[in-house]
Amino acid sequence: AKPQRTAMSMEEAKQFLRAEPADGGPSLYDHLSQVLLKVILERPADANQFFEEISAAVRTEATKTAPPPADEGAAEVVPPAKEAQLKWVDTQSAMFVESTEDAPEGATFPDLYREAAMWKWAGIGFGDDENYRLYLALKALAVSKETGVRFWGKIITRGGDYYVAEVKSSEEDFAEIDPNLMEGAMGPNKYTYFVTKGTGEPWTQLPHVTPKQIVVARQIKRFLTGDLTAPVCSYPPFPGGTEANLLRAQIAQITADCVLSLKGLVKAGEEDDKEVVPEEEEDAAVDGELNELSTWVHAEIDIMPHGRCQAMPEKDEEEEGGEEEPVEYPEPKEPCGEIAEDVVEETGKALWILRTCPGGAGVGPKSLVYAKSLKWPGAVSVAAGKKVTNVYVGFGLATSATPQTYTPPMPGKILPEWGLPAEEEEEPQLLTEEADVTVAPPKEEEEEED
Amino acid sequence: QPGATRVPAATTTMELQNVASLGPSGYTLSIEEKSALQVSMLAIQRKENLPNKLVFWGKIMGETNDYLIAYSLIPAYYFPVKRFYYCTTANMSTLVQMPILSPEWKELSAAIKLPFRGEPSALMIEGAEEPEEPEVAEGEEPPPPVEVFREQHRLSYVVSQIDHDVAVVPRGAFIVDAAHKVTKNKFFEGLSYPAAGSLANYYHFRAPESARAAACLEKPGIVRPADFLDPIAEDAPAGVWSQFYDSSSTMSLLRSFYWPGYFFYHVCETGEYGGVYIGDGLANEDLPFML
Repeated sequence: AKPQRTAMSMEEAKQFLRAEPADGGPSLYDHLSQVLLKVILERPADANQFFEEISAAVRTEATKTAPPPADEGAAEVVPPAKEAQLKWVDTQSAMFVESTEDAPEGATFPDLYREAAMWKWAGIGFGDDENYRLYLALKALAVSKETGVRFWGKIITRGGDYYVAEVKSSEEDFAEIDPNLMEGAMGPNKYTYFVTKGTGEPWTQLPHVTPKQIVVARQIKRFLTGDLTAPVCSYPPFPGGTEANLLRAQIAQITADCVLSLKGLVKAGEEDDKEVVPEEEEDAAVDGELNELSTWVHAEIDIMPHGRCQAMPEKDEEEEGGEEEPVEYPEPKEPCGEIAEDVVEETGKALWILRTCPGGAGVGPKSLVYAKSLKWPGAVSVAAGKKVTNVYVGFGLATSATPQTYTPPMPGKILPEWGLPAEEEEEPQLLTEEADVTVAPPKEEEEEED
Repeated sequence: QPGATRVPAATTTMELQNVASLGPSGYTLSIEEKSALQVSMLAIQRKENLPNKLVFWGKIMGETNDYLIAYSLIPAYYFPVKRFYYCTTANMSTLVQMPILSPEWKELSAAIKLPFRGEPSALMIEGAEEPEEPEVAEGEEPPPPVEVFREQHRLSYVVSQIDHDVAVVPRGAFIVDAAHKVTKNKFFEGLSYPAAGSLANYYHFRAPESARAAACLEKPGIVRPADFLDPIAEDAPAGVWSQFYDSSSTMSLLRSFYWPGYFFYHVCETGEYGGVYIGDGLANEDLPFML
């Protein structure tokens, strides 16, 4: 039978609401008074619309208890956020410690915070705080290697981003390396690169790059995974195997294609090898207007299709055993080429865009100009007066010249099987297949089925 | 004792003041762009009497100029709608609403794979000519101009595609209120540090398309925040989203590799999050080769 609902007096109603539920915890009266208290204290704009959320929030706050005090001697359970953040704090604080010794001679590092103001016009920036920490990290690298360091840029990967720093290679690294296998400091290995996942982390040196790696890297298109030791599974197979080599090959290509300077500030070297050297004259002036493509020139040697910058080294004829067909290698391009000549071959479209900043209503005599690469999205070169700074922030991938989807190279033809020998041989030893052995299955006596 | 005043939660994408949080992405807005956008975004909000203010959506690079795009969230039943506005870097002081597209032009836009030119009135069909101006008799008003397929239409399509594919919100940032309307959760506390490391806690901010999520939205009763949106963890192929913490381990960052240039950040244990797209507006169709 339905229970009678007699009218309750005020006291009975209050008693009913204050009744404690069977499983412990606050009564409805307590809960409602907590909710109303929260609304009065916090004064949210539309409390009615969010009433259920406020009520749920009060419930979760009520059930939150302080963690039990750790037993003496037991290991402290550290929340993962705390551990990771404290680790970062330690690495960063180490960078801020002032060094007691003078910086060694030869250790030069860029004024990153000034260059960052130039990059910001081109839309590239890491935030002011991070810029300064990056500056400290580069300074630490320069001091530890006692050499000049340039900030090359940032490569985006699937597992975090790499900061890349550029250091001039020393000739001794290449003394023992076969020049047929790898070009030394006159080629793509003019610089040695160091990468790190975050400021304050140790810098890892990338291996030197070989021409074969550059040739294959131009044929594959892969995102980097963020782990330098990860294998590169690609077709054609990448020689040298790990992601560190692939990263180095991409960096080499980007440097060769995208590091720019201004005409009048650099000139071609006078040696036999192709080289770009800075103008030593004191009053070297920029030759041309900044907002014209012809004023910008490449500051690094172009890498040819076969992966080298300079002509192939002469082969000693005594060392070679048999005769080899001479391979035609292309001639290296003239150094300090204008970027106006970088065009897509089929369409003649320019591969560089120039923008003036500030432009439009704000343009003035101090406006700087930046050049943006269309072939390597993310490569930017900013010039103001006589100062040029180059930086790259991107995935490390080139765009294709014509809009088409990437297709990997087709696999090679299937090699023919060993065919018939030449007719001159007198006793041909043909390989023939053995005839199949056919054996009739034994005849089973028919059994009666059950 | 709940006594602290609450900091209002950030919106789904960028307040201009929060551009500094984009630092880990490597990209930023120049002073000129930020300054002009501040003016034009406020102008549009007030002139068109929009209920919510404009937020910065992203930047699409073009050859002559770049496009800067912003949107405002219009509350609507079932799911709030985004109204997009754009301007070019040549003329940043006026934002223009994006045009609405016919299905025919949507197909045309989907077929174009070339980079953007940066001129909104550029004709997109090869061989098309500007429509002739009709003769107007004296005293009569000129007829409305004939619509021709221009780059602004392609831009509108591409922006809606990118937003559909990659706009991300963390779990709990949007909830279904008692009136069964999807609204921003003003009491969003943020994901905890370990929870922010899992892709399963991030959802597409769009009208749900998976059958399960759409059904949850329609049934009566309380809808939990995890139920009514499509999770990004179900996007194929696996690896198209990558999540990692920034170096200070205080922010969780997401990147998309199908639309390279989309970047999302969330400050763990706070209500702050945002996402922008800064890129060339081309989908990465080679993705299967690249993972």
